[in-house]
Amino acid sequence: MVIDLKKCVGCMACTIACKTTNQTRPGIFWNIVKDLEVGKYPSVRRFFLPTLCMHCENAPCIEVCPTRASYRQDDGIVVIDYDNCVGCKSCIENCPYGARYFNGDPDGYFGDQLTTSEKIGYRQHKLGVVEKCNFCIDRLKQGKEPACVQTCVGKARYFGDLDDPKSEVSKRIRSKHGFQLHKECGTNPSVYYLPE
Amino acid sequence: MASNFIRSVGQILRSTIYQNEGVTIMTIEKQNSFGGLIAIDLFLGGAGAGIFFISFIMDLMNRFQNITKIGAITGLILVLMGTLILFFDLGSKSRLYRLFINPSSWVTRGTFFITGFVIFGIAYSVFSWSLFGWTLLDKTTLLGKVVGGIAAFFSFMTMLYTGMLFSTMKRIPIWNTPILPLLFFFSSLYTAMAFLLLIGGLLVGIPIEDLHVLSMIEITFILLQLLLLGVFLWASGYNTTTTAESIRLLKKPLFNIGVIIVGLIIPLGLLIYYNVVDNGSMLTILLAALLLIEGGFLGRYCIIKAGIRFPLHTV
Repeated sequence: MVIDLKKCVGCMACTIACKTTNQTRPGIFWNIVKDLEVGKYPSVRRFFLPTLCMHCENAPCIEVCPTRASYRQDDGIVVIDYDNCVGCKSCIENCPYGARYFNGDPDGYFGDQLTTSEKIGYRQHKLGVVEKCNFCIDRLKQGKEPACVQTCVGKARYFGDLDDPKSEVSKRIRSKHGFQLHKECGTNPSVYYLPE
Repeated sequence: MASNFIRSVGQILRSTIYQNEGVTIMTIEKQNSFGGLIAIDLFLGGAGAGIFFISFIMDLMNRFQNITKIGAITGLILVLMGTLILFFDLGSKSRLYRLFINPSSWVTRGTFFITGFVIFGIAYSVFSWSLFGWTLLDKTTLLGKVVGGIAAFFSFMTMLYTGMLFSTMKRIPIWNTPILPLLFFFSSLYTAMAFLLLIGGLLVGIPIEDLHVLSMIEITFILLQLLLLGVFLWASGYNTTTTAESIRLLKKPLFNIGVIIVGLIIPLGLLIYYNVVDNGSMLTILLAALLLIEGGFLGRYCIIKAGIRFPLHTV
């Protein structure tokens, strides 16, 4: 995935699209837009940094998972097998990008009285396990783009095959000097950012 | 629903603004994955393993025999209690067996160490108490020493693992340092010795000369711990803005008074007083031991609570 920081307007439509598609519980955000400030007074500026699971090639979460519930698929997507996760939470604090959340609270947005939508949506989530973005794997199987990409108002997100040098994402990374977040961590993320 | 959603987003984005050498303003976020239960588990696990380890070494040297038998059992009980607490902190308890699967994870390694320690520790305790005396299995036999040695190895690794688990967590810079395992290791040792002083003073009533020797060892452990703590605080304060912020969080009365003054310096003074001036007041030793145990637990708790995630930025 490629995210063009110049085009992100911070509307958080991607966060809402992710929430409605994946029906995550309160406090769990597989995709979130951080509202950051940089600079020194008076040259301070504000910018938006959309973050999600970076699907790293050298994912620390996979290395530290005691049950091997976290693993990388052949297509490069890092997924969690909820049937194997014990909820030890060590992956949460090992992910440099803060992409993982513990699903431990059974309440919905209105307390313990779940709405019909929540009752249906929460069936796909197990309590007591760790969750994160999976690039909307079910939508990918249907030939669709991830919900955040499809819904982005500023068309700031691009999804494609990084291994294919002719793909749009590869071309944009090359032509616009795409960079990875916190490259110094040595994780080789699959999400690239285009500079502001 | 909308207001709840906005509140949740607000909680995620809630930040403390911190200025890094006047250049960058970053978002800082406290960790919320680990809390009091993990602190209790690490404290009991570390102290219990330490008690067993010291007891075994004393056994090998044929010293303090009346303490070591009870010490080995106490160590096992504490580690088992810590493991039980850790079990309650797991999200999905029914899949506990899966913790053994990935040896590259420190959680898996720790599970192996604790399991090995419990199995061999129980066997060694059986030998120590000569529960099956008719089988001629005794801790003084070669088999007894080998079983004890393996249990002691696992107890050593259990002490080390409590710090290693946290020092590998890349997202929390104050933990992600090689000094943390050493700090937790010596914390395990001095709290273990404090427990042994309690056992010696309260349960067994060992001779005063022996108490003097044990308290001198404890003084050495406390001094080492103070030295390590000083290096840890100094290095973290100058490392990164996130570690400096963690140190600011850490240096609250709970840590300054509860850990450093009441938990280390006052008991150090009491033990020195016991050795130099007061030759025999059990109350001094018991009070020092209790304060050291309190400081050992609070120290781990405060360091865990001071965990701040490094901020994401693009500069």
